Amino acid sequence: MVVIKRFNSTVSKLPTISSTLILSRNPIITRELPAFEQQYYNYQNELWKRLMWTFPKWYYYRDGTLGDQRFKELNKPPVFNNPKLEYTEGRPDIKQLRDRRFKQVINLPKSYKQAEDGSEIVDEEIQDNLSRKINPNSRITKADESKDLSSLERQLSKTLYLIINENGWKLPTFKSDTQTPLHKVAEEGLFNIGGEEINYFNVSSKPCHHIKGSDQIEFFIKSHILSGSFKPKNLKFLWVTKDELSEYLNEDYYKQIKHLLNE
Amino acid sequence: MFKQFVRFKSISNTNASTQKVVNQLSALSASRKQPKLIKLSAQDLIKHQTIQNAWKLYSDKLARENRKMLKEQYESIYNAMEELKQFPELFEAAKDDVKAPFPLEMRIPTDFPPNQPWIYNYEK
Repeated sequence: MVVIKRFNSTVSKLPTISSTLILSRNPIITRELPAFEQQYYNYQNELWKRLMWTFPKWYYYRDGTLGDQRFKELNKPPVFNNPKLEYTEGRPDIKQLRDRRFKQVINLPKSYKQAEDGSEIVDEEIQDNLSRKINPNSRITKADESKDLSSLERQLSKTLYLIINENGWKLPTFKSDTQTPLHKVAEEGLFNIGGEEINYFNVSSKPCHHIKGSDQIEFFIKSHILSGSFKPKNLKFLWVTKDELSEYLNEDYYKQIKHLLNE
Repeated sequence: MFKQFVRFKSISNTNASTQKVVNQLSALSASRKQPKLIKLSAQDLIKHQTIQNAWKLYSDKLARENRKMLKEQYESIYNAMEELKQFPELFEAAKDDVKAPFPLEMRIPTDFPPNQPWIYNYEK
């Protein structure tokens, strides 16, 4: 009798569970360096240049060649150490055409045509040429400029997280039975609301966190979206960074999951 | 009589291939290429040490935050798994972690974005 009573009590107490998906888009470009880091790296870089060996010019530009001539036009020799002169800023210490007291600045001949002001002269014939000037793409995309929060191409230097609007903004949450593994529930739920054209990588089948309510438990599953897009029908969704997430989620809820998220 | 001036003495007993190796070694060797040592004044030394100390404090702080976050994440996983023990089937499924192959599409962040930042046309 006692045994049955205990059995019944445990059954009635068994909480309902749900599986919440933390779907993230990893950063595509490197993070923005804080001012202090930037200054420190700059300082170290200058020290490194100051302590660098002299460029062996004779090896790369042999005397009397055209390349040597172009190199000499770009790089004027340092001030000659004349023993009969006094120098106000210290006597030059020249070896191998370098003043050993300072860092060596070398200007190399450009592989592309350059106008007087330093801008490139675009020659249409050599657009596919390997010697063309390299113009890197902008770190700020169109989605950043138009402030399109539902685009996967925004904030390339930060991790983005998917939130959906179901009676308020929240992470996608799916009801689970006690049979299907949690990561399967999350996967099926994601495909149900967002279409199957999502290439994603499930980090682990283990839940990374749980939040316990009075009669329900919420488990968290981590995943990365790799390609494809989240295309729901009649559902508002956003891709937001960790900082922005704190504005959309409930404050207590955000505090509980803060440590799971990356910048 | 005509007298020939020679600026450099040619190295004797070397053929062309030996000379090539000598040139290559001269490009690699440190002789006559090293800059002067940096001699800092007392004030500059203090400045340098202050910069290094500030960096050490800064990186220590970052490392501490990182360790704290990892510890919290580990405890989160541990607690979640403890909680999951109420549901034996789910617990077993979570324990048998089927290792998915690491995705080749995942890329390392670069300084500048690719021409196409995101690939949309994915089909299963």
